[in-house]
Amino acid sequence: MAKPCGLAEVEIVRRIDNWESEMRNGIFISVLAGALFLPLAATAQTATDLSGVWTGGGGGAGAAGGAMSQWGAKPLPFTAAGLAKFNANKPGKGPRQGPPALGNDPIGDSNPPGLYRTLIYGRPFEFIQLKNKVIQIFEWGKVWRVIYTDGRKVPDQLPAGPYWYGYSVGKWEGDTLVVDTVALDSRAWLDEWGTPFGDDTRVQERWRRQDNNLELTVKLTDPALLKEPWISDTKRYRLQPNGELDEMIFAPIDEKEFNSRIRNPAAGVPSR
Amino acid sequence: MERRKIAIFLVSAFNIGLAMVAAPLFAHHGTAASYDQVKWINVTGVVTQFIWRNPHSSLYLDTTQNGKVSSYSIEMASPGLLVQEGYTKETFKVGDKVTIQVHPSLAGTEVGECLFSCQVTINGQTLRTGRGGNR
Repeated sequence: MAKPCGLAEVEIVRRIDNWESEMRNGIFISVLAGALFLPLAATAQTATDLSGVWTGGGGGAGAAGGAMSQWGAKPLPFTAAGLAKFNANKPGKGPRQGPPALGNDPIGDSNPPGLYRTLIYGRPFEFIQLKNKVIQIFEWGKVWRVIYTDGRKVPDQLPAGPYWYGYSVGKWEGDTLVVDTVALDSRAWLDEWGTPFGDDTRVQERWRRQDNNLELTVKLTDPALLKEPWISDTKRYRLQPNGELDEMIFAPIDEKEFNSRIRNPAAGVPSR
Repeated sequence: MERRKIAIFLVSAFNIGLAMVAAPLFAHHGTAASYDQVKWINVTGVVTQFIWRNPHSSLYLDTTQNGKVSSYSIEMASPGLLVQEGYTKETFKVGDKVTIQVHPSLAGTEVGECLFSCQVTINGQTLRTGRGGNR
């Protein structure tokens, strides 16, 4: 009798140990889940205000390599025309990088980086949220854009365009600011890796704040260059509570000197 | 299984954080491809000019080898980043004797790159620099 009873006790102790272990794991998981998700649940019920200085733009596999664009890991579904435009761009950074002196990066001669390259460059920007518009001020280039949130329609044509920073109309869908941007000047690149877009490319941005974090995805639509719309990875920004924007201007007078004295000789090519 | 999911989540979160920290360190407009990013060399010379300017600062030295003087150009980071590294616009003065660690030009020309965390000695004094800041 003693032996079976001993086995039973051992079995009971083992089950209690397992139960305790599972409880510990359960408590750990609950605490972890609470720590991670409760703040998100709390903020989801408050009015969203994007105002503040934010920095970042990383996140997603596109930023870590193995992708054709810094915007995302998923390959862009280029048409033949889109692929030709992609191959024509010779970047100084990314998987296709070469010496900038031998490339054709538009900012190499101090041209504006344009909106989408600026958004993931890593320099801070500030959102100023007003009643009928959201103003986004960028440190890089010390420029701004306006996102109109007054209910206007996204225009089909803008006779005075295109614009390096596009024309943007936004609306709120719950806690997400959905921004449609058109009239982009396609001489800019989408990123530092030479990802192209066209003058007719339409971009839809989705900005969502969660506590002190801000997420952005962009959707590109352009039947001439893309076989189907393409959605980026989620890019992430962090609120800088006492952040201030510095000045980061690429003045042509400085760039010309830099190219002549450093960029070109570094690549072993004569100044151009 | 649950532990595996948690581990995957935590590793993913770490990787995302790492990418967000690392990205700005390379947020320069693209001359890194011109330099050997693995190799460091020390360049010693006398300062002829230090340009403290966006988006690239630059340092120019007269170096002497076998009695022959030549100019060596060094690409540096923007003032905002250099401040975070401990530099000021007064760090280098014309006439200072400097030894600076750079990534050399892949083309073998007299140009190097010192963007982050390179060792610098000015008139025999080691400059305390280090990577810092979040942009």
